[in-house]
Amino acid sequence: MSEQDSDDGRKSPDEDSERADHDAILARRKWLIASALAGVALATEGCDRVKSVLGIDQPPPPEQVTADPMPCLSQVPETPPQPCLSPMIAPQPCLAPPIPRACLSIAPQRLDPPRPPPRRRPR
Amino acid sequence: MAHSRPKRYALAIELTSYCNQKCGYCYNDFREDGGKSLGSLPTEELLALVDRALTEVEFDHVTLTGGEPFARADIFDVMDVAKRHGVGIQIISNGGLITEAMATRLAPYKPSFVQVTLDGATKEQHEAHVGEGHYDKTLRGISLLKMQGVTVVGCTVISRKNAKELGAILDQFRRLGVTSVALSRFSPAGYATRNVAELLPSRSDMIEALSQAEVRGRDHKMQVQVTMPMPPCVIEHSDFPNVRFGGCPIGTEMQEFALGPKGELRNCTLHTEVIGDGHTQSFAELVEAPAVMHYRDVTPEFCAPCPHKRTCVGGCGAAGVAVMGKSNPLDPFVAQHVDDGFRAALKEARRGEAALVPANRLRRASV
Ligand code: SF4
Ligand code: SF4
Repeated sequence: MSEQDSDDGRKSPDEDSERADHDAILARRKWLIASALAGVALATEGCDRVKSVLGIDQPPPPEQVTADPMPCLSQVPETPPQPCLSPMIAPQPCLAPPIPRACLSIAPQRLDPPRPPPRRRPR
Repeated sequence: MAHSRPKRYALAIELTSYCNQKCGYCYNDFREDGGKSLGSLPTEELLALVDRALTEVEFDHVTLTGGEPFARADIFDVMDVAKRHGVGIQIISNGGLITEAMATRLAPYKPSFVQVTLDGATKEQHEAHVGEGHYDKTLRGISLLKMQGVTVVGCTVISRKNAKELGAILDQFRRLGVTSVALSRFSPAGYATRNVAELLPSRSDMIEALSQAEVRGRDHKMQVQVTMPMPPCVIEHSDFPNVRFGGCPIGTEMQEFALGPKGELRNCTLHTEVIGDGHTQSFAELVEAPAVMHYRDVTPEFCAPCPHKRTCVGGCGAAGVAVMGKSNPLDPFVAQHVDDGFRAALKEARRGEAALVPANRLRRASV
């Protein structure tokens, strides 16, 4: 009997969803890796080549799937709390509005900070 | 030659280790003994420390937290220091100690907001997370603040116990006139690691919660922001266009440092590792210490081939270190589904067969 099975040999709904979560995460990580490779291939080979090599239809640009760094304790205010925090808007497709950060210097270069796609935020 | 001060987004000041509530999800290590062994700094010492921190580093704002920050009467003195430096003020509270007099006194300070946590739409569900006798006090705190014109934003810690009821909790917030809510998923660090099996929501739980939040964002224009990272391998962010997501800010310009109840500086409120002592070291140097600068260099094993490892850093590293250990600090929110040993241990713990021993408790036992 596998560890997923209950005493009567059937899987419980919890175990089913646990298996589904496990599979979904592994599949999605694989897809993220493939998408990144496709992005590289796109730049060098063009779309047709990407499709034939990876068998995925529309690899998204990697920056579309990651979120901006933001503090975990509380919301980032809708309206910038201070006059110096005027919103910075960059032409980038993004799900949420820009983060106010004009007067915030980037943390030291050597950190290779994740390029925060500008957005607004509450918290 | 004038030296320019480093700029950072926020400083979370843990004013006190005391809290009136007994939350099972509390990430503070000092919740263990109710903050007794740690206490808090005397007023003069605290004010001097905050003054120096704000002099040496240009923070956008301070976040006043604890413990319960309103447990300290001198919270207003700390706000005076912040005002003098021209930095914004945010307050994280459970709302339970707020009196009419406090709310009245607070209003002229114009904090960006007071963030109050509600973990259930009913008394039973909320108190199952924070301990008995707090629901009504929290609701009263919210209403007192609102009556004085103080901006209140909500917070819900999404757990295994309330994920499927998030919609009802958001509806309750809306009835209270709170339309901006932070979703802080349970992230086990500090005290909370003892409750991993009971409270850690699964990916499916979280998708259910986010689906309910999405509806409230879309139909009621609620501003819902997930404040703990949801790694992109677990959650497809674009499925929830009316919910905002964030990633771990440590080592970026958005970092929120934590100044502990004894004056120690840490990378964030969930991390227990101390970067340095604010009493004896310069804050300008501490915010550029190796523990900050090289924070994002550590990659959990599972994330090694992932193209997002530099941005996602494997989710919440504080929970990763606390539960999984320092050498492979994958966020338990991810690890519960992909780390075979941890999956098995969780399952056993949930069946009541064996206790799950997180890394921070293992370390404690071995010292
Ligand atoms: S870095 Fe790790 S946790 Fe984040 S998306 Fe990649 S595999 Fe998932
Ligand atoms: S480690 Fe990062 S993600 Fe986790 S609480 Fe700290 S700042 Fe947030």
